[in-house]
Amino acid sequence: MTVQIHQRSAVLEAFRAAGIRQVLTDPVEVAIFAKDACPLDQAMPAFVVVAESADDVVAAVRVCNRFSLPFTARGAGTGISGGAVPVEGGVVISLAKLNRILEVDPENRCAWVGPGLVNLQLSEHVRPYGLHYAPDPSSYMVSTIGGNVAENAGGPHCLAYGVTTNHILGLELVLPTGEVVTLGGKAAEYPGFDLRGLVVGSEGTLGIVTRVLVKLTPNPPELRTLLISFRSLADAAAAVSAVIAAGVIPVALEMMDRPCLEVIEEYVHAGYPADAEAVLIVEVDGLPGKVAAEAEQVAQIARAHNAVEVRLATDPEQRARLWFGRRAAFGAIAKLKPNYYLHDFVVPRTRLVEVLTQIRTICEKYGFVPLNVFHAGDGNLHPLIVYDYAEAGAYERALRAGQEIIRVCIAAGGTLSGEHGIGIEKRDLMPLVFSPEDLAAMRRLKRAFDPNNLANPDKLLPLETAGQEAAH
Amino acid sequence: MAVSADLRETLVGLVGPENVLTGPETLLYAVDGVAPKAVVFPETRDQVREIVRAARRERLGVLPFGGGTKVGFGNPPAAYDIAVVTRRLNRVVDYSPADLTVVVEAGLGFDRLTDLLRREGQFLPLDPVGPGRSTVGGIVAAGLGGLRRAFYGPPRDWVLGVAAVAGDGELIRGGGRTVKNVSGYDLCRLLAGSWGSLGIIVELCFKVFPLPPEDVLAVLGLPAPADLFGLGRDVWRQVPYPAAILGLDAESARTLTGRGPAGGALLVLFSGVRPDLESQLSQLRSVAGGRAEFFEVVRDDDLPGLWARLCDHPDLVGRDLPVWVRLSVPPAEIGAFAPNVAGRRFLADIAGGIINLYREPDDPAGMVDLRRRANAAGGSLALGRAPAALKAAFPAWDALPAPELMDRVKRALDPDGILSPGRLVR
Ligand SMILES: Cc1cc2nc3c(=O)[nH]c(=O)nc-3n(C[C@H](O)[C@H](O)[C@H](O)COP(=O)(O)OP(=O)(O)OC[C@H]3O[C@@H](n4cnc5c(N)ncnc54)[C@H](O)[C@@H]3O)c2cc1C
Repeated sequence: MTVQIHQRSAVLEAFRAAGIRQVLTDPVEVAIFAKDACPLDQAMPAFVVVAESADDVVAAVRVCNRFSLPFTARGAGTGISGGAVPVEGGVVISLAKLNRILEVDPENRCAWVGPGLVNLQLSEHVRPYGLHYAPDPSSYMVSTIGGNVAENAGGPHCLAYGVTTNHILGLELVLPTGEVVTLGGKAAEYPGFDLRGLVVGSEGTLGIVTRVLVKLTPNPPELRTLLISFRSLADAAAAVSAVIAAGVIPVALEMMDRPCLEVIEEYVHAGYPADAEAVLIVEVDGLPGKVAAEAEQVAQIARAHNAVEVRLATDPEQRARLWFGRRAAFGAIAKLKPNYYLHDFVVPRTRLVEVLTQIRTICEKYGFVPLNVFHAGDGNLHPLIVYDYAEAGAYERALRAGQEIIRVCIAAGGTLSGEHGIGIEKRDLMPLVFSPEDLAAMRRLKRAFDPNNLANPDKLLPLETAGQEAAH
Repeated sequence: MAVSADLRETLVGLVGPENVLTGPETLLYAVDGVAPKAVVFPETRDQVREIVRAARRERLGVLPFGGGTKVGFGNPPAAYDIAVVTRRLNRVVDYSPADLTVVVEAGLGFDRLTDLLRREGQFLPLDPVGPGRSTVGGIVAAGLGGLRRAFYGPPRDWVLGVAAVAGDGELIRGGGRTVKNVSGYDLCRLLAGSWGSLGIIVELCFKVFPLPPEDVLAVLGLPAPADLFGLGRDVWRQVPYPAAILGLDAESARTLTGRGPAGGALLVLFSGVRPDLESQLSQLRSVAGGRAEFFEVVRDDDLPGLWARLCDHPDLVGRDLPVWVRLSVPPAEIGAFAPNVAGRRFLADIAGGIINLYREPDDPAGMVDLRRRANAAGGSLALGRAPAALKAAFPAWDALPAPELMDRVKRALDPDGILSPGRLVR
């Protein structure tokens, strides 16, 4: 689908004629749009449209249709499954400049925002109203609401509050054919299919989101954070299950294992217990009585599972200190080796211990020590393999270890991705969890939105081999 | 309507003669006055698949049927040949209390699921209408929020996995059994609220929740109806974490709560631990101040019965009234609709911006105006039930957003348009 040289100027002219001011074509400039944070893939786009308005997006999509050019929406490019990697010679449509907060409606606890708005800026902006935007992916300082919507992002606080889709009330979507539709809104119920729900998590394959109506959540009157250390990973994981089984749903329940703790200590000195095999960060929020009771319950369960230390933070400063290492984990890990491969799977919470043990065995077989920092309360694992691309065979070994880990997770009743999406990285693994009929139905849905197959093609669904096309 | 011998024979061959009705009993499954030619009671998903395939060969209209509690929604079916009753698809497939997940077949009664979960101290906060008759599949297919929607979210937020037989007769699955999942398109959300138009849901995996330690319901009687929504919104703004804020007209308040405040009743539910509940109740008292003529607290054994009666609002509040109007507006706009409910019977979810209004089929012009105002406020109006004559003049739904796209989505899963044709989309 590469653009022919003689077409290049015609396309560029069409973008300009449609009123788009910023189109990048210089190979040096477009190179940074060739990949996201996934180590696996990259491809050079021929054009990068830096949209300055929703109209620009519509115009760009129409031009792409005219020239049959595949296009890929891009937020901050922090995706880890290759979702924002363009088709070679295709078009990237950057939404980063559509970053305005268009309306805050405290009475209905929601806000209309541009898709390029950075997650954290939203919560900061609505703080004066006593509200916040609950989904907080670890990348919240850079990732965009549009990217979060497209990947159905999760975060530490999604355990109690739910992932992105639970917080998206409405969307404005530019369809792959260039029409604009508004889905959902401030009321609870609208007639027709929940296409808003279908678009969330669709990785830019069903169109480009140009406005988002997000739900805002009242800030809790009381918040307590516990940092609990254990001498064994099994004890920590068992404590996680026991907390949930006891009927306590903390707002956050995060785990870090020893290799991860060592790196955090070495690079950011978070003051975490040095001799722990695993650390849990548990946060409870709500009214004072509930918070006190739950914090006590969590501490008791932890002690019953051989916790060696329970630290409690009640004021914001102490809380920030407990969270600091967790928030800084990825930055610290990046300093360890030049490359890392961050995985994302979910398993039923009750299978955590068994799966973590298997992951360690697999990684050791390939000569790696996995680092684990993850959303334990959801059973959402993020085993991380650090390697040096320059070292012969290291990258291939990391990939092979990853493939084996995936199979272990699926065998334990898990799924391919909890929050990072399928993208390119896992598209060919989809048949591990979905039948040919399931995939055929998803393909037909894609076609219903995108008859010309231009919106971020070849993502999320396995590549079609000839003759696989279901007869309909 | 006479049924062709062929159809009966096919269906009997699939599920056995005891599970096919073609006689006058089909009237029990009438929708908008139209009885199906045949009613089938499949017991397995394979049977559902075969039934849909048979129907597709003959281009017959198929309506999935759960407990029938929400069958009044939607436009009259364009074709209604077979009712597929899910009631015998009622197995509990897998319940893992420690994972807070349960997998059940779609025809399982909500009350049975509730009993099962309660034994483990868990629940599913959906509050369906007609809790004694609703099936889980029907609740999800309708997607209507329950009385605690504003606090716990609508049914779609509780569905982790789904299996359904699409209109092409294939079994399709979305989601899974884990509490988080972004693998492929979210078919769970697509099927939730699709009103049987895309697939017949056969199995669901739900996320469940620990039962709160305690619930209390404050019943406030109002001297005059004008202040009901206003007070409800003040409570929503000023009292933390209400699990529900409901408004009832005077007469319904009398039937349901036994007290007859002239201005109707505001009901506020709190869930949690005792010290918090006491402080929430006292904050509620101070917000209500002199605006309530009485303030009663229902708790313990008295509460579940009252709550179940509230969930039964279409039958109790709407008793003898043929029209159920479901109005959904941005919550802060609800006050503007007070004049529309004045003197009528209603149950409102003030926190969620939903009004269930019950009335006579009189004044169709008033209905048109109400719809226009709901739309102008950014909301919607749906008919939950209405006589055929009213439905003929007044569509059951507002104009669909993105109708062509919806149509293409429909064709993607139901290429020949045999599932619930005409009820929601073509
Ligand atoms: C250090 C680190 C930590 C992370 N932690 C988390 C975490 O805790 N939880 C989590 O869920 N993820 C996490 N991520 C992954 C990533 O940040 C999320 O997937 C995020 O939602 C991507 O947002 P983005 O703006 O960077 O999107 P991009 O990477 O730019 O795009 C992601 C996908 O969204 C599509 N897209 C972008 N904008 C639009 C739009 N407006 N309309 C339609 N499609 C669009 C793109 O085409 C692409 O398919 C992490 C990543 C890193 C690098």
